[in-house]
Amino acid sequence: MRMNIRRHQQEQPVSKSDVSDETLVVNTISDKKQFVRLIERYEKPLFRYLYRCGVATQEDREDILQNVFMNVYKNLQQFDIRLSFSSWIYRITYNEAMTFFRKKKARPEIRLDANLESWIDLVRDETADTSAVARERLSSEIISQELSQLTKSYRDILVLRFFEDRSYREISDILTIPMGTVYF
Amino acid sequence: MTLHNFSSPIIAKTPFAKKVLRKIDDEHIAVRPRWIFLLRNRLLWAFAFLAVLVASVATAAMFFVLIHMDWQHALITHRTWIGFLRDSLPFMWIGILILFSGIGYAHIRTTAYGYRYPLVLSLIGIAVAVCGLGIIFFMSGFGQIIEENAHEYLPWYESVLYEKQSWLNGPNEELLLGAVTLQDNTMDHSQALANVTTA
Repeated sequence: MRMNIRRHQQEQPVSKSDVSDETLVVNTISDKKQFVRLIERYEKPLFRYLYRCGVATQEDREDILQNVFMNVYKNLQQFDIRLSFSSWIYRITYNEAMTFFRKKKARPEIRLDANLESWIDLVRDETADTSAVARERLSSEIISQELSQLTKSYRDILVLRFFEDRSYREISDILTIPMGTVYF
Repeated sequence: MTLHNFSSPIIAKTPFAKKVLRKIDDEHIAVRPRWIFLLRNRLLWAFAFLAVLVASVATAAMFFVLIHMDWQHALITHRTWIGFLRDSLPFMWIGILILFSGIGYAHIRTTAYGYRYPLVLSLIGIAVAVCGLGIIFFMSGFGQIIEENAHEYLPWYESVLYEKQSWLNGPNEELLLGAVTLQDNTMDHSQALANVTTA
């Protein structure tokens, strides 16, 4: 799947203390307070991912994310290091989002301008090239519209690949589908 | 992985993190023990194996029926092949075979890393296992036992092996079921027919 889509800049979960996610998981099992570090690492990226999955309101995103972290905490011992923690938590988030849509009987609407706040800042910035900002918003809307016309399974893969910068293996682990299906 | 000691105290910086931690405390949420997940995964594999086993037994019974279907008399007892197959194929065993192979696949798919196996590979694997075990069961006579027991104990099931006797019992179609009790080699064929006519 080769698409000429600009990859949005990612806020990759960065640890200040260089402690791996896997170590934090082990530490959290013995000390609940360590879970804060995992929450703070993944709060923003997952919030943005939920937006891209089509969860429109901030309240809904917060509710879903809260459930995600509760589930992560409850099931920490299920985490297997054959999988990256990042893929595991994204999978839980994706499943929670799908449960949310099923309960609401709503169809997810793809939204890619998750960096809206940074664009607003750019517009406020007098030195910034506002026409470039407008062009970016426009292209984002066009891509959103195009993606909305695809089937859900294609959209899920494209969002993870081009907007969340995930590898094929990671997409396979997040969506729990074989790698061949992701390629196809 | 070793435990990492952090020198600085851990304080939730974002309101969201505080909220999540508070909820974990308020609802007394605890980390589930690891054995639950291991047990669940092993049970899934066990159910998958059990489903494949049931499918294999059905395959053994299916082989038994297919081999004893009297293919050579197909167009004597029936006008068309379609009619013969409709009346003879062991649909119950084929149904059980497909159903339990599907159940087996679904269980494998839900194991921890079951999703990583490609669909075609999984289906081929299940088919090979089902056929392999089915042949072993058939060769050991298990297929016949299953078929006969199903005929005897399942009220809705009538084995085609018993049903086919009625197909041969049709004098109007020049079919006559019977057992040869005496064979007289001194009598020629025309004499035998004459005897039948006079009788």
